[in-house]
Amino acid sequence: MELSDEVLCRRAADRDEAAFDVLVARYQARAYRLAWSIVRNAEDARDLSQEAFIRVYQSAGSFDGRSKFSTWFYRILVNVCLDHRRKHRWWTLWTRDAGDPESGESLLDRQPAPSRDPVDAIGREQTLKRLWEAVGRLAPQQRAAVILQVQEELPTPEIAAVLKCSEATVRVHLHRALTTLRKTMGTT
Amino acid sequence: MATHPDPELEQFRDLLADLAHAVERPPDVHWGAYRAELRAKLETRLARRRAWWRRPVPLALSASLAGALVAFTLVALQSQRQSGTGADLAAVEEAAIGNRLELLEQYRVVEHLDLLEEFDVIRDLDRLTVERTG
Repeated sequence: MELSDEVLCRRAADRDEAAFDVLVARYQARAYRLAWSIVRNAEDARDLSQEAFIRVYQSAGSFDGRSKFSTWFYRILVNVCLDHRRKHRWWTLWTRDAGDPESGESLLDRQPAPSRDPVDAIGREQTLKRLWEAVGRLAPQQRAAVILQVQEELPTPEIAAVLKCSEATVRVHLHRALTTLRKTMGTT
Repeated sequence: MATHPDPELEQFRDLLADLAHAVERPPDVHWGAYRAELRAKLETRLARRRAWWRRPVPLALSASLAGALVAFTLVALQSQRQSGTGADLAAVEEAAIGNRLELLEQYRVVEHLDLLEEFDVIRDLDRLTVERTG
């Protein structure tokens, strides 16, 4: 019988190496993909997802089982990734297009949406690629909310639990993110 | 009655569908190597933590911290004991005042206690007068 994540986590807290290995095997792909979506760099995503697993091992005893293990793990992982982005913010700001660091909006975000349909102008595939690139330029919380919803298909209450905010705040993040992305789509 | 969907909401729905459709995949990873690397990092981290505790400086630091904690606790207990004595004295005082409350209710009588004190004088006053007249 397959053990649940929560049981494995409790065993990992008792320093059961095998249980921890099973957890890693279960979550490694998701962790790496989510980290990559946030930091957009394969090497960093590898390091950060591994760092999240190390933190799980070290603090498995503090997992109280009130939330699902996946929610708890995603929270650790997203925090690790957002901390990393924050530490490298100077570089992000340097490379982004003269955005407003306070609002997290770039100049592109503040452009009015033109009326022409971008899909007519350039190939759909390229447009979608640019759309994800635009997701990478969103403010960290907005980006995390979009990725958790679209990629990880988490429901709003779970996103709220991962980001440690209210469901209303998650909706606000998503709304702002989509508004920005819509404008970006218009200008591509 | 048919409701018209909000055009903005429709746009957002399309946008989310586009995003979901175009979810990008990160470069492939060799998972065996990934887990081996993770295991090595974990061992290093745990070893570093164990080594930290073996060093003389952390040991000395921990010992001084423990000593300071004990000293602080003793001082705190001592001051608590002292403040406890003060509290006892206050309680006795309060009890004494409480006992005098009935006395205070008879304030009018108390007010005239000085007359009682002077009673002998007052009583003798008559006599003095008699003597003077006599």
